[in-house]
Amino acid sequence: MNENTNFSQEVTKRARKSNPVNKGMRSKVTLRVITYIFAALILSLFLLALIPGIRYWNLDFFTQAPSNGMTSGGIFPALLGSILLTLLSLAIAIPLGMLLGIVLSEYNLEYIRFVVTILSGIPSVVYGLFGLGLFCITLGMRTSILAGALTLALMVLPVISSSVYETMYAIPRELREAAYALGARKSEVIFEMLVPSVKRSILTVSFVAAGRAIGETAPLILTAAVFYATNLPTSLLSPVMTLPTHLYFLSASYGKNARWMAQGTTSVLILFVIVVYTIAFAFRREKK
Amino acid sequence: MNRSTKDTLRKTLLTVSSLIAISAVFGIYIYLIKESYSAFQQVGAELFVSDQWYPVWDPPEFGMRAMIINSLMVTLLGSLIVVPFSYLIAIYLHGYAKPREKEMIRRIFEYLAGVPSVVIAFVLLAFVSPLFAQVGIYSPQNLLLALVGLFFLTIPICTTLILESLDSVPKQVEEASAALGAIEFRTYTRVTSKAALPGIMNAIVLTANRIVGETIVVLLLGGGAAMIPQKLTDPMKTLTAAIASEMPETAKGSLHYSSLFAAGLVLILFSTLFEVVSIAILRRNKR
Repeated sequence: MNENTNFSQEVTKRARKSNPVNKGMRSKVTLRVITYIFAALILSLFLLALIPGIRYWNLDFFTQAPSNGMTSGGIFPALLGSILLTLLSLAIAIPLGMLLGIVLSEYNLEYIRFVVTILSGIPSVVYGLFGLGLFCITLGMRTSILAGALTLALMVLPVISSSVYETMYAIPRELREAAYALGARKSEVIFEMLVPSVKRSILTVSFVAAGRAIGETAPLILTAAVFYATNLPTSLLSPVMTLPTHLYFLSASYGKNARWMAQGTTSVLILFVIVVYTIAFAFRREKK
Repeated sequence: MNRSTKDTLRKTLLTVSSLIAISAVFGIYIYLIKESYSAFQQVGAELFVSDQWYPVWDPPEFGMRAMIINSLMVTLLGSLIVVPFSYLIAIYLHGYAKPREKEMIRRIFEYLAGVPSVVIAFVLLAFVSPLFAQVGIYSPQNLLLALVGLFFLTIPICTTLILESLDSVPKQVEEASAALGAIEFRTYTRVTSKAALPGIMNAIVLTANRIVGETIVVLLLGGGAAMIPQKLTDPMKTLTAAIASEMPETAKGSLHYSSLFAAGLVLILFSTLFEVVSIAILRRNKR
């Protein structure tokens, strides 16, 4: 009797196991668990970056320079440096990236596409080496805002141009043909019809590029940033402190006493990223 | 401004932008070769066959073979960890997740993609690294921790790229597979994945490229010993880490400076190779 129940239980178990529907359920559940575990890990990374540092925020933290060997004061010079560098690099990269995106989309030049793809893959530290060699040394800019901004601009150029390319390329052929039929020249079709219609996407990608530019560390260590600037920058040729390089120097070479400042800086950086990307996503959704 | 001057002006602007892009690529290559020339001339083959990297000793040694191997090893191990998980997550999001759920998880990944690598490095350094001491690992920064950092850094790109290629497979292919009696999981892993294979391979190549060029995470988390690690908990240093950590203290024009440019040259060769492979995969797929 007992043997019999065991047998029938075994049969049911095997049948259930080999039933394709159950198999499908199992894989679905497994995949869902994996996905949710990683989503949770990522969220906890965000929380660990954001929350512990917020309690160090106060007026002094944002308006003072670091003092006493990075153990007191605030991050004002780094904040200012990051804002200056990001704005300057975007001011260079956005117009240039837009023009390059137009070339990618409207002129069927295989080698330009190749060049932009190669540029997009070059490691950031190599951009830093190039910026150091060309801007800082050969052109005599030294370690400066200008050299850093030019290097960053070159780095985000492929990001901006390929995004402009994608949106512009997706505009239906017929629109261009209609404009040509009205007697427009190619440059008029591009600048008077296509460019206005991709304005919003340029705005979106500007925010994405700002997010990229503000977090870059390695190229700035080589071209623009110093670990401690005694004065605020007075011209484009002054060296600066920036948020990511400040955080890097704090974590690389300062001990426990500077850790609070590193945490505060981390929170500022991550908050900045969240805000910038939220704006970018909002623009993108509106477009849809 | 009359019509034809406007036309000429706009064309000139477009030409200038293309010229800047082209000269950037050539300029970067030329600069790296030019600045690393004296290292090749004076150190020669020792650069690539020796493991002894003691640039500030007297006499200095500039053998970066160990760092090249470390860069490649980190790339290989990092990809091996991140790609399978990305694939599974992408399969879930592609096939099983509800639209809202998919949108939300994608959003989380997109935000993560924007997190600066120095932030990821700091969080791991502050919260995970101290755990190593508690389990008796002598080096609080090591290969394992660097791999964890690289995982967080690359999982959004890898997942998004794989998901995009899975989503671009025509619905009919999956319907045909289902009509033949394949369960969902089989359809996604055997049929959809096969159709999306070029896209998935492209995702793997771009992930590898991202890892080989990553600097701050491997610099802060890797521990910085210019030797080949024997186990996961050994410290190590990659080419990128050497450039970023040593360049600021190096005299411009010195042999050390030049050999760091040689390291940059090796890196850009790797990245160009990866990008060319990626272009080739996508182009073959188009035909």
